[in-house]
Amino acid sequence: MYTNILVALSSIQIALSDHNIFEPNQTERESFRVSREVLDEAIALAKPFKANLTLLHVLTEKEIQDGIRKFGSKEKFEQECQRRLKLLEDEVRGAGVEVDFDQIFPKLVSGKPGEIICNHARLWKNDLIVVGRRERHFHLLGPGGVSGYVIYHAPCTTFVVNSKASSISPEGANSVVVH
Amino acid sequence: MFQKILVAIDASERGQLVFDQALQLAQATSAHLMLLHVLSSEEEGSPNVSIIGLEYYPSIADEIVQMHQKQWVEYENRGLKMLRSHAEQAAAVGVAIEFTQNFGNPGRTICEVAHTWDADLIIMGRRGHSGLNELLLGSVSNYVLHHAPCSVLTVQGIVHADSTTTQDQLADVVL
Repeated sequence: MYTNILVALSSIQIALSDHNIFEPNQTERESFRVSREVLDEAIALAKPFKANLTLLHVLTEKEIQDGIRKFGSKEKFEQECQRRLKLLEDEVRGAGVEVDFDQIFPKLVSGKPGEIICNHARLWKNDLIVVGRRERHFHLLGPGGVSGYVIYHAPCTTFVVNSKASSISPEGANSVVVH
Repeated sequence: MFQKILVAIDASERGQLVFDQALQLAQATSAHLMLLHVLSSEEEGSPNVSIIGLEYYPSIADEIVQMHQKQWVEYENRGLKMLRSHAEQAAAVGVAIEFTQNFGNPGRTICEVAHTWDADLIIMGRRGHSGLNELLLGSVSNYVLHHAPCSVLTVQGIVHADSTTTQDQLADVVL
């Protein structure tokens, strides 16, 4: 059913084998957690269908600026992203799932994450997009946030990952359980 | 991976697409399915005879109310027929399935059922309304996205031929 899955990651500092992680702040922790879940779910979904994954690292303008500042220069930040992406690809392969290497763009540019994801899915003809629901307080990022944009504009089925252990109740109360 | 999948469907063609994907996913993951059809006046094909102001026309009011009730009953029955037909399809390929038909606000009902049935995935179609309609009616999938107690999978409808992307549009890409 699914052959070519696009995995949208807001953070790629999530490889299990990566020990080179800076002390994360609140937002980064949330990003790691969500992206880790997204990758795990994508791998789990790829297996029964023998699908391959394409990892897409999506950053906002601010995240790019933060990254450049943290690593000193754009080139150094790009190198670091390359390194992390390679670790992730190894991890996915290790799990028995094939990863698409071809469409890696070496430059860091900003844009609207939702649009980037949908444009890529269209070009790469993905039949499934896996994305996280990072914006718990969604009103802060505009209606729906990235996942809201994607489910509306995606050219294919979209899977928004949201694990049960850390969700809000149907009434919308903030009874978040942190695991 | 998934054990309990809640599938929100309606009687449209898109509903069939949603069910087909849900069935394939359930087969691949050995999950249990719960089919949910929410009866509401927002759904295409639901009776929408306005009965406001009928008190001024007592002679025909009764007839109209009865006709309205009859239409609702027919609408309910059509829904149940659809659900049973899907259930048979699922049973035929060995997938465990139950179904329920509820009245109510679609988004809220889907989330409530997901909560009480303890679903770990909700599968639904995209609402399919464009622009102003989407804004006015509210998007069911958008509501569910933000209030669901679990992951949500939205199935696209037919993709239109004009939605292609050129290399230029990929200029803003991140490694």
